[in-house]
Amino acid sequence: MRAVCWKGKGRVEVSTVPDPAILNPNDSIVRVSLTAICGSDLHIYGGYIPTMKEGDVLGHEFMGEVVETGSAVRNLKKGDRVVVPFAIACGQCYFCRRGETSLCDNTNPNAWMADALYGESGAGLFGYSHLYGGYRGGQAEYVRVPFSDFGPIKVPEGLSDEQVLFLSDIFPTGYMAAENCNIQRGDTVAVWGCGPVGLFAVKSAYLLGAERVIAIDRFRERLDAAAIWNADVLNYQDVDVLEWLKDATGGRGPDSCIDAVGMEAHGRSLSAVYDRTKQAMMLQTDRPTALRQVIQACRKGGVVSIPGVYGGVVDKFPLGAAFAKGLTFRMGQTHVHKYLKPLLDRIQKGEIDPSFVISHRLHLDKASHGYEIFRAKEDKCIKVVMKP
Amino acid sequence: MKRKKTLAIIAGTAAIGVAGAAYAKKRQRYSGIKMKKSIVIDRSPAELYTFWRNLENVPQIVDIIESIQVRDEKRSHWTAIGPAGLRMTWDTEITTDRENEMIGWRSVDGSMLETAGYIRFEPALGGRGTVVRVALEYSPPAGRVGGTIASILGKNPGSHLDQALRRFRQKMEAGEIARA
Repeated sequence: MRAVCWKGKGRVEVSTVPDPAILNPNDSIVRVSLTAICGSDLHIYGGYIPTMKEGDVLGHEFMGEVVETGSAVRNLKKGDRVVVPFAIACGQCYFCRRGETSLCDNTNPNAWMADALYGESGAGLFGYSHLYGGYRGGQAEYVRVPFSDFGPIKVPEGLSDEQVLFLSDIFPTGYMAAENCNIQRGDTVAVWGCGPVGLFAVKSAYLLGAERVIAIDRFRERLDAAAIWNADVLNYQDVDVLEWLKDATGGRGPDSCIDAVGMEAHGRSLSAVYDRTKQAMMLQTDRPTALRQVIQACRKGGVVSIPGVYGGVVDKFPLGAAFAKGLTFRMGQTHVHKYLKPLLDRIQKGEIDPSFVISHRLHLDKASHGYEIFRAKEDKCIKVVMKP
Repeated sequence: MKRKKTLAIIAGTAAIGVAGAAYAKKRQRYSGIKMKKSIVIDRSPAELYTFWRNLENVPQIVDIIESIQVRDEKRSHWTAIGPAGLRMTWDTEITTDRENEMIGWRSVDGSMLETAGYIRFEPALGGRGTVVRVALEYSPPAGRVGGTIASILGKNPGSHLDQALRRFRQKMEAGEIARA
């Protein structure tokens, strides 16, 4: 089959690799009908995620048709059209039973690696390094889906692939980011980063009752998209973000702040230059430029919600500001499974059309081009979907 | 008798006082390598004990154990496998068997490998499953046999135990062992 393979820093290639096979009784094989490149794939592309091996199949946002099921699979059958969550969860462990499926105890065969790095391991992920299990990803013609009785959700007739694909990751991720803000009536929520996750966070904050959402980015097309979803938009290259936010909230600051940027923040401040230099010299793994501003901006007693991915250690983390203002931090990989049904319902009711974020539709063979323009934000690229 | 005392050392915190003297004695004779590890599994002690008491189940969760053949109620024959098909075998006997609580074993006299271990099953606080504790001890002899053991165990002997406990949890909670 054809699959998007990681070939080293800044290089992906569509190669022919062996078809996946059923290895465990709870596995299914899915023929991919639509897949996407995630912002977090760019961290791998840029060489920031350790334990990648040349030839690893990328991709954790995908959907398709079940073509084969293992002997223990009861909930799926051949021909079912499904969306697959990016985190692999067993559905049985302490964490899964609490709905915290991205913290699943039982799906990362390389748990010892994460244990050494982080003190414990979360769930295995599709196509996201050996640290997260070494599972082959979904930017391919076929994928082996482990624990398939628990993960995938069947898609009802009448909804297009483009409308439901993002249930696999970015819609639940933006939604959980907003849910983590514990939004109350009258709240103002500020969102740093108007990539796809930031856009879904904007929309979700409104769905959860925010009074006002402020979206911050530097790319016109992304700010325009946020504005269409009713955000007040802010180009951080044109204004002093902290001053603007203070002014907009009568000096108090946003009630909650979402960092939808993560470890590769750009920015143009002195601290951004400092971070880029240190990261380049391998003195720190992540650039927390946006996160520092988020902490500085957030109102006293507010919530800092972090859907943006961080992988290692950061410098100059303003813990004093966080402490002085009594902030609450919520973060982590998304517990996709618990959001599948409620968010599918919202799509069916027409409350949101996730396909709104798609800017580019490519054939899988053009993946290399897709990665390039997505990373460079060329050609007004916001979200790339690919058909095998 | 000496061996029974050795087992007692690793077989329980409760036995520490009794075993103290024997420990010092043993150290003079050889340097035993010890490791221990615990994990919480969301199943009852009885379920976990039952799985483990059938020793023939154990090779599915311990990567370096190729097979365990049960000879009778107490005795079994273990085969470990390492890189390039390197194998070694020894016989063990169960020395402690408390239903749903603990199983202890040691190699029988004259084995190629001198080893002992136990697994305990303690109800976790708040009804949250079972705390499983494993302790192992082995004494690598000098020479060729010692070299074989070292090759099988690799650079980080403790990682096999860690992996085994995670796989035990996968098997008991999720019903299968995760594979990529």
